[in-house]
Amino acid sequence: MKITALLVLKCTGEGSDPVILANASDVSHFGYFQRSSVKEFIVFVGRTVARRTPQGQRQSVQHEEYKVHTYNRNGLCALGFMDDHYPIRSAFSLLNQVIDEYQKNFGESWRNAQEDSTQPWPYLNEALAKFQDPAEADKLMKIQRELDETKIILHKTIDSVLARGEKLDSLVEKSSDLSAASQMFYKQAKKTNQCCTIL
Amino acid sequence: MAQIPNLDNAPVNLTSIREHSQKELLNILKNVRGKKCLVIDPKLGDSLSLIIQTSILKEHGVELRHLSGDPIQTDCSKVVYIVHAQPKLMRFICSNIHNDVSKGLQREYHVYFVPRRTVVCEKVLEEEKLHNMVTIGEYPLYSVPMDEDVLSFELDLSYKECQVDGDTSSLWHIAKAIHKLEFSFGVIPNVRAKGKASVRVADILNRMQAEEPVNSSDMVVPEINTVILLDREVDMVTPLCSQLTYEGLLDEFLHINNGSVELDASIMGLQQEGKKTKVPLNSSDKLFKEIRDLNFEVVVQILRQKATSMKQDYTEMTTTTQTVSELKDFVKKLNSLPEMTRHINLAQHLSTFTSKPSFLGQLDMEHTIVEAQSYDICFEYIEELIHKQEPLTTVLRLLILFSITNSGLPKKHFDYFRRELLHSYGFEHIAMLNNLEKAGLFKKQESKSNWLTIKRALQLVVEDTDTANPNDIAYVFSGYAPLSIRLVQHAIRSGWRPVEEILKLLPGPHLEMKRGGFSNSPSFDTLSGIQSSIAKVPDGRRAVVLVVFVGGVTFAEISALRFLCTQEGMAYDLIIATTKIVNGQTLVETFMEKLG
Repeated sequence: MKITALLVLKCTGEGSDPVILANASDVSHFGYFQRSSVKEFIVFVGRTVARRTPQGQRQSVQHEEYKVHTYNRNGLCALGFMDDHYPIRSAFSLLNQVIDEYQKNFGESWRNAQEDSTQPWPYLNEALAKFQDPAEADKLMKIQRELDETKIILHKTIDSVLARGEKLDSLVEKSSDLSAASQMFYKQAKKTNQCCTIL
Repeated sequence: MAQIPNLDNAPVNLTSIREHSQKELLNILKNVRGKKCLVIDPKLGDSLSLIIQTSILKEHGVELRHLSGDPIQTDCSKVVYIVHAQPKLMRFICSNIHNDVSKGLQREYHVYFVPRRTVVCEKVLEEEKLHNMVTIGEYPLYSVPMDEDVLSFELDLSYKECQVDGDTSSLWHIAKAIHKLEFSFGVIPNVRAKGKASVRVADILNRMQAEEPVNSSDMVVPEINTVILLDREVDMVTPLCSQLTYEGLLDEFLHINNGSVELDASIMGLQQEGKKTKVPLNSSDKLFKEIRDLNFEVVVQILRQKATSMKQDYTEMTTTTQTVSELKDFVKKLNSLPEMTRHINLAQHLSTFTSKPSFLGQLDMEHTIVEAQSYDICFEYIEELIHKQEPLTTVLRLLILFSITNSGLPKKHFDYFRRELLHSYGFEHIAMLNNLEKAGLFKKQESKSNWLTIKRALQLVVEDTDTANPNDIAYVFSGYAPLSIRLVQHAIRSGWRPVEEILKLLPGPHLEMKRGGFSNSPSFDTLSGIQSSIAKVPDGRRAVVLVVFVGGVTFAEISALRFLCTQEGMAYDLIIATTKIVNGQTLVETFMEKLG
């Protein structure tokens, strides 16, 4: 089970070639003089497969001894080169996280990209190393899902306890009434007393 | 039944006191085998609800009934009465038994007296020829923990009994309660007392120690360092003034009874017309603990602040993305919502009373009387109240306050007020007026008043009281510092000697002595050279002072004592013990005879 490369591409879907946004690969097991060729090959195949993946689609393409997994989310496309034994579910979990992380880091700026980026994205290299073990992807996905569900449950609990804020509105109103009714006991008594004294 | 207060944070182990009372009660019930009907007098029921939960009683096969003249409705063949030792209650019991006999019911009867059997009660049984049908025992319930720092002896009528009836049996009860505390926490080495009854209690306590000694060598350091005993009579000004703390106002207007108030459910925002609901009020309610001792002005601001803050947090939560931990924090805050709702409802209800012109007018008059200004204005105000036929207790509170601060009224005015009262409220109140006169509360002037001297020497009127950040106990009355608590301040700081001249101007003798390995004979003279050493208990807690009020204490006084405990440089924790928690209204009512 091995990941050889991870890529993030912009897909315009208008017949033009996808733009490389980020790129990470581990070609250490290739011969020294073959590595640059392999990297070029990865980019070429990646761009080809990305071009053929419509928005909202996931796809797995066999190419020689590699399986290329790809996920196109609203034009932002994550792509991974794995071997046959890497679990498909874990692969797509990883791609999903890559897209999430990319959007978290760069927002929507990728839409303006016109040329391949030469700037390395450190996260991608870290992910490449970390997710050589497919269990990592599953673990994180599970935790994220549970957190999302917990958040929904908490929101529902809060809303029902507070009757969608009405209870709090009522309390604020009552306590404001209290403020209006509040008396400065001593000072008022003192003033009245002084008036009486004068009389 | 009210909620049992949490005592985990008490300065001494009051939990063990309560558990002991629980155990004794359960033993009484276990000694009667099988199912049984427990009949208790209603007043005692309130006290027991602070000691044991109803559910535990049911686990012991107990059916619960209140004692009255009506026949007991139960299938149980065994009946256990637990009652205060009062002849009136004996007649109810006799009536119950006679009724059973006339129906041919064969029952086994047990009567347990609180706190001990008395000859007069057994005499009633003998006269009714029932003595041989009844097994008699005692349930020695001498004190009930009301809260972390408050004990009650549950002696409702002690003040009147001593002052008017000459019945001092309650003093024995008080001394016994203190003696039992000494068995738990060691002999109390320092005693300071002010007032006729308090000096008597100190004397009785010494005799108890001689007859049934607490072995002081068993304990390294006594947990209670000093006991200060004060008669209510020494300071009748304070309970007659309107309390302005949150808890004090709740008692003035809603009548706190054994740690809870009973109200219409609608006041608490519940949709149950015509139903009553009981609201527990003690330290287990964290918000109540925070605000109970504050001036009501400040309470109102705090409640508004909390409600607004909660609302803002909610708004923010629904408009921005929140992490799970932030949501969890908010849910945690929601746990305080029931308490907030409860107290906003209560405070709103209280404010309907406190915003009335009549209340504010009364407050103004109290301050005028206490400041000893404008005798004529006070006279005319009270006269007008009588002519308007305002509630009798309201009038009496001001009238008694007026009389005390003037050391009685001139004969002409005294006679005039008596006549006007009887004309406005009915001749049947002449017995009450006689009681008040006998107690020295409303009397003819026979000597010049010392009130001005006392007021100045003890700085009882404090100008510009900051109720939000008080630096003096006067905040509990918005400007008047309770005389009783001023005495406690002096007693704690430096003993009676520095204020001896003032003490002599107040009713009753005073006493100061050491006990344990020292002189055992009580003395009306101050022992010279006494230094109140600051004793630290081994685990680093502050030493404890027990302040005992003979004849009752008000919530405002309790708040003032708690305030003292929070002050920097305070060397002691305080525990308060009292015959009963009172207010001006309940105190005055004890002097009213129920004719017919």
